[in-house]
Amino acid sequence: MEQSLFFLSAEMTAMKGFNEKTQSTYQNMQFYDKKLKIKVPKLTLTITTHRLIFTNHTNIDQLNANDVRFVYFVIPLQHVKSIKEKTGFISSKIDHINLDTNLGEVAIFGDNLEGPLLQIKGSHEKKEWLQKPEQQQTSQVYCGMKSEIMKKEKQTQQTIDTVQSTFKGGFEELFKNATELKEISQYIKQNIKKGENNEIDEILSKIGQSRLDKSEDLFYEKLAEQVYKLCVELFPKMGGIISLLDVYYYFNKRRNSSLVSPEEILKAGLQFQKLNYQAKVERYDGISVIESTQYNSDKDYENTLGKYISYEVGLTAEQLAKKLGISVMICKIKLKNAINQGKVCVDNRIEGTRYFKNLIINI
Amino acid sequence: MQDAQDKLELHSKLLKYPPFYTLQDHKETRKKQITQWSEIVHLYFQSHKILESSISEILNFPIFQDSSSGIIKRLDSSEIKEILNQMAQLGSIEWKNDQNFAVNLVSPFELADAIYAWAKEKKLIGYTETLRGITEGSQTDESKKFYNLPQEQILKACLILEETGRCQVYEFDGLYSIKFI
Repeated sequence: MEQSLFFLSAEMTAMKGFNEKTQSTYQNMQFYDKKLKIKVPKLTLTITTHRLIFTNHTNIDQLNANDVRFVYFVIPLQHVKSIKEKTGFISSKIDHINLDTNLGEVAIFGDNLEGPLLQIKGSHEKKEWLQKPEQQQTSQVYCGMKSEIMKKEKQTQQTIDTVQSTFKGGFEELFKNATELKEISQYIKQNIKKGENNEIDEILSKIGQSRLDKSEDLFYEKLAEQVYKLCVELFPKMGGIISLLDVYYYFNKRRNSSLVSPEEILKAGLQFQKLNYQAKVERYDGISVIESTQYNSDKDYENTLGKYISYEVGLTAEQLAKKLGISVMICKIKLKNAINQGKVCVDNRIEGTRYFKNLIINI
Repeated sequence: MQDAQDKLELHSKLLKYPPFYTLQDHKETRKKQITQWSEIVHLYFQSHKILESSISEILNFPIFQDSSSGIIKRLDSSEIKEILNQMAQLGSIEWKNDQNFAVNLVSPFELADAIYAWAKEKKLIGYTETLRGITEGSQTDESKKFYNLPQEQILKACLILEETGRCQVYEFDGLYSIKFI
C-alpha cells in the first residue's frame, strides 16, 4: 500500500503539540486523497495551529485516537507544501481546497470553504509548530544558613553583572562624547575670542548686527566722550568731584531712553586716562567718584569748606553738605581730604561728629 | 619762648577748643596735641601737689572733661595712657606698673642743681647728709623745690650729682647718705 497521510500512525498524529491551539471546527467536510482516490464524506474538520484533524466523532476532545469505531486522521501542517483554492467553472465560489503535502495531494470539499481556507493558510504561515518549549530552570533548593548566604551572594553578583554590562558600554560612550564636546567647545571659544569666526560675522552682518566684542571698545569710547562732557558741566557746581552714582543719575536723566547701567558708566570712566581727558575715576572709602585732574584741594577748601567752618563753630557733614549744595558723600570726601592736609579737626561726640578749623597745628 | 602767662592763656584756649578732647588722626596735629596735654597735665599735678596716682583715678579729673556742648565729653583711658606715656618720656612721671605712676613735679636735673645750691648755701660741702635730712631736715624749708619730695626722687638727683662729681652716695643696709664734694 502506498504511503499516505491517511495511514500515518494514529498515535503520532494524535499527539497534541507544544502550544497548539484549536482555531475552529467545521462540519460536513469531505476529505479526498488524490493518490488513493479515496473520498471520505461527512467529516468534522478541526483546524489547529499545528494540524488539520478530520474525524466523524462529535467531540474531538473526548476522542481516543485508537478507537476504531471512529474515523480519525490528521494532516500536520508542517507537511503541507502549498495550499490552493479551486473555484468552479461557472461561479467564483470555492469548490475545494487542494493541499500539496510531502506524501501526496489531498483535497478538502465542503460548503463555505472561505473560512477554512483562510484559517489553514494562517496556521500554515505562522508555523507555530517550530516554537520549542523553553527549558525550565530547575530551581535550586536552598536550605540552611550557608545556602541563604550563597543565595544572596548569587543575587548580588547577578545585579553587579547586570549593572556592569549595562553601564560599561554606556560610560565608554559617554566619555567619548564628552571628549568630543570638550574639543568642540574649546575650538569655538578660541575662534570666537580670536575673531576668526568669519562665518558668524557674515551671518550677523546680513541681519544688520555686529559682534559685541569687536565694537565694545568703540562703544565705551563713545560713551566716555559723552560722560566726560557731562562731568565738565558738573565739575564747577560740584567742586571738581562727582560721585559715580550722581553721574549715572544725571546722565540717564538727560538721555531719557537707551539708559546705561552703572557698570557701563564706570567702564566709560576708566577710559578717561586712555583718551587723555582731564578727569579720572578715584575711590575713597569704597565710594567711586569721577574727579577732575585739575582739582586743587587747597583752592577747593578755601572756596567751599573754609567758608563755613571756624575755630569756634563746628558743623556736621550734613550741615556742610546742605550749605554747599553737594551730596553728603562728596562732602565727607572733601572733609577727609582737608583732615589729611591738617586743615580741619574732628570733634567726636555722642551727639555726632563735628568739624572745626585746625587750631592745634598753628600753635 | 613763651612766658608762663602766655602758656596759661594758650592752655586755657585749648581747653575750650572742643576737638582738643579727641585725639586727631593727622600725625603732626596729634603730636602737638599730646605735647600740649602733657604740659597741661604736669601743671595740674604741680598745682595740686599730686605725687602719685593711677589711670583710673585721673580719668575723673576735671581737666580731661569738656561740657561745652551739654553732654560731658571725656578722654578715654587709652588716650590718657598715650598722654602719660609721653610724660614718662619727658621725665614728668615714672611708671610703677601698668596702671600706677609716680609724679616728678620737678625734673631730676633741676632737683640735682637745687640740692647742690642748697648744700653750698648751708656750707655742707665736705659734709655728709642723709636723704631725709635733705627733704625734711632743719636746714631745709618749704621754699625749696625738693622739700618733702619722695626719697626716690632725691636719690635720683643725688646720683646725677655723683655722676657730675659733685657728691658721693653711700649705702648701708638700705639707708643712703650723701657726702657733698
